Amino acid sequence: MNIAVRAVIGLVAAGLPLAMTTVWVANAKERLADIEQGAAEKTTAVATAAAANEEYCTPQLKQVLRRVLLSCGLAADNQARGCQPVDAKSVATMAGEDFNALFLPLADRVSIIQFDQDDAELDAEDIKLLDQTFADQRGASWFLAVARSSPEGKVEHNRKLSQARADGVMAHLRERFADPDLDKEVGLLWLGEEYAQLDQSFCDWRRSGAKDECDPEHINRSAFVAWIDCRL
Amino acid sequence: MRIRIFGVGLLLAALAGFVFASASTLDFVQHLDRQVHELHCSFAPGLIAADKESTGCQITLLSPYSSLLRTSLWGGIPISLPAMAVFAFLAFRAIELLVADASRRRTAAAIALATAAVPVLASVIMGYLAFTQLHAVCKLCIGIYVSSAAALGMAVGALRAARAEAAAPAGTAAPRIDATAPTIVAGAPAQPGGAPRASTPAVPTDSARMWLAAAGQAFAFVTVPVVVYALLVPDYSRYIGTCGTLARPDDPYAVMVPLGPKGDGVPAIEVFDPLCPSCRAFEERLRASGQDRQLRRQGVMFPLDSECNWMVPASLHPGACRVSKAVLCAATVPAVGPDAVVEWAFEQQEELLAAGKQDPAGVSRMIAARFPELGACIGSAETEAKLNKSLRWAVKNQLPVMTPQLYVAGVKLCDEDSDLGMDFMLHHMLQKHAAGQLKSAAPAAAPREPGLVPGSEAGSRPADKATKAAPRREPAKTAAEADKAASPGSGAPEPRPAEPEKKTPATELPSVRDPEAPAAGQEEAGAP
Repeated sequence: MNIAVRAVIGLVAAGLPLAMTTVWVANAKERLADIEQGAAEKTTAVATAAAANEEYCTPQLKQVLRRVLLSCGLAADNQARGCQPVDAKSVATMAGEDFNALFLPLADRVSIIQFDQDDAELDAEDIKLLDQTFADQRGASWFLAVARSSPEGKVEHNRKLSQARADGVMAHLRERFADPDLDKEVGLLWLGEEYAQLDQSFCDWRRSGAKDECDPEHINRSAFVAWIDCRL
Repeated sequence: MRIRIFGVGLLLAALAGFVFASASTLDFVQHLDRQVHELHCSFAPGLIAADKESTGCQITLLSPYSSLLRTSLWGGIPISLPAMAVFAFLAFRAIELLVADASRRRTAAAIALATAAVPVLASVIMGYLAFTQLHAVCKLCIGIYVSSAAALGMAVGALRAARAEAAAPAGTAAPRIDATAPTIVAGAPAQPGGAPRASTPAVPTDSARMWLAAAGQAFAFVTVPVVVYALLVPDYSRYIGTCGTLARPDDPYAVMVPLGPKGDGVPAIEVFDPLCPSCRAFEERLRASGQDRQLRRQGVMFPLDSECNWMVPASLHPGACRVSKAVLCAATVPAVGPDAVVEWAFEQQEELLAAGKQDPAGVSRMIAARFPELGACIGSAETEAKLNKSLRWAVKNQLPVMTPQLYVAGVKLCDEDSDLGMDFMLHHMLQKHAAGQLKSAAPAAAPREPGLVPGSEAGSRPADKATKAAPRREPAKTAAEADKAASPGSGAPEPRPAEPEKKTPATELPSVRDPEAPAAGQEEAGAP
């Protein structure tokens, strides 16, 4: 075969990988440039990690939550202060039953820590339930502890007793969970016997008391604790 | 006649090898756009569509053995590119053999044999690596192996035929050429009967010139496309720092666990899921590159499992929450250590995922059987809270919901660069860090605190709709990702049949409920 023909064949054979690769790289560069131009549009397609915001986060619930958290100044100075009954009434601006109804959709998130009469100490069962509840934060941003007392005794005493119960919950959480966000996450309300008493419909909820201890006075000697999966 | 048959066979084998090598090179090169692409993973590339289970090709493509000079060039030089050139050269030599006159056939056949030995040798090495290191079978690679073997067989046959021809009766013998060495006697008259005569002192001959020419041609065939490719590949270092940075790289919750070699490496944070195949593949690539020894990695657990992660609507990796707890617990037990659990989880990933799909308790049993010393810790409320804080760390930093993610000194390694381009990008990030120049071009997302503090504006922020009410963004994609997660070696990109799309090849991106824009004035703004 003529040497020129062989040379042409050789050049074609040598040039084929070169030409193919060059075209492929050029195409890739072109696509890269196209993608770069539209990059801003595409990057928004990736979901971003965010706290949970469940369906039960109604405007009313958020309003109460926000008012409690702001009015009681929990996050202001790392001191666990809380709302007293008078504060709660003013921030909720609703009847006690309506206030309690806000929490009905949270049934699977709520635990009722029941105390003995005239007592603010957490027993082993209370601690176990409280720990389980607090550990099950999931995507929630706020933990509410609403402490109450049964109507026996003086109002002022019951007010202090419910405050002691709320503080007891907070103290235990502080001791058990080294959570730097604790003071920003936990909202305390103590309602004494004055506002939003629980009725027996709450007996079926998760609670630390004995099964037969669910008269109104039993279930109101309690701290109603729950993570709230709402974004504010 | 026989030599022509072998010559044609050699040409066909070379062309087949060229087709397979070209398909493999195309698969590699098209990823230069940093996107996901379908692979030509079949024994008839271009004619038969790749099957869905093309993980062998994906594993091979993304493996450190698929290319050379990976730290100098994004992706490196694909091995299949010089393979293309070698097969093209072999095809050319086959044609030369076919058209060579009788006096040159023996040398031409010897050159063809020497050339055919190159892909065979490469096939033996690559096959060994594939079976022993990657445990993967790639159809295109098998095509190359078979073509190489066939080419070698044809070249051997051609040489034997040429020798037989040279040993033919006197008068038909051409000027004798010793095909086995470049320095031979030329023009020596044949002895009666065609028997070779003793060689005279070597002088440059036609044969030598043929060998030298072939060597030069081979060099040009291989070098030119490789050099041109290296020159054409864009500079990807401009993407360093364009994918964000960590707003809050600190670890106030003490949720990070040490990963990999401990030393004076550059601080890095890896967000990962122990049951995520992409994370396993990423870890393998990182180790194979040796760059893990230049990092001081801290791991943040981000299981894509709805049992603990509210950000994924359905579990991509059921059981991952439980394994993540084991990793967190192992960090507190020096006798175990998190690396041991992570390594075990990666090794047992398929079994753990299968168990998790049936019943997450099965995963717990497997953990308890392998790491009984972690039992009490895994079930504790503290560990559950710690895992939750790990997820909340991701929320604070507003990370994308995907794994794995690597942040080197707070700067993110782009997801698009976490497979083929990992060696290159990481190498350059480390170099920049050493020079004090590693920084993010994209601003960090503002750290997300629990949304409300007294006096903040958070209270007046428009309300989000409840996340459960929000539509899933890409439900089909979630299903695809879930399938991908269950398949072995799926650190590789999900093949996409259509246009290239935004890449998450080495990461897993579940479809996540995203808050919709709320109606203005939906709820009261601010505090009373």
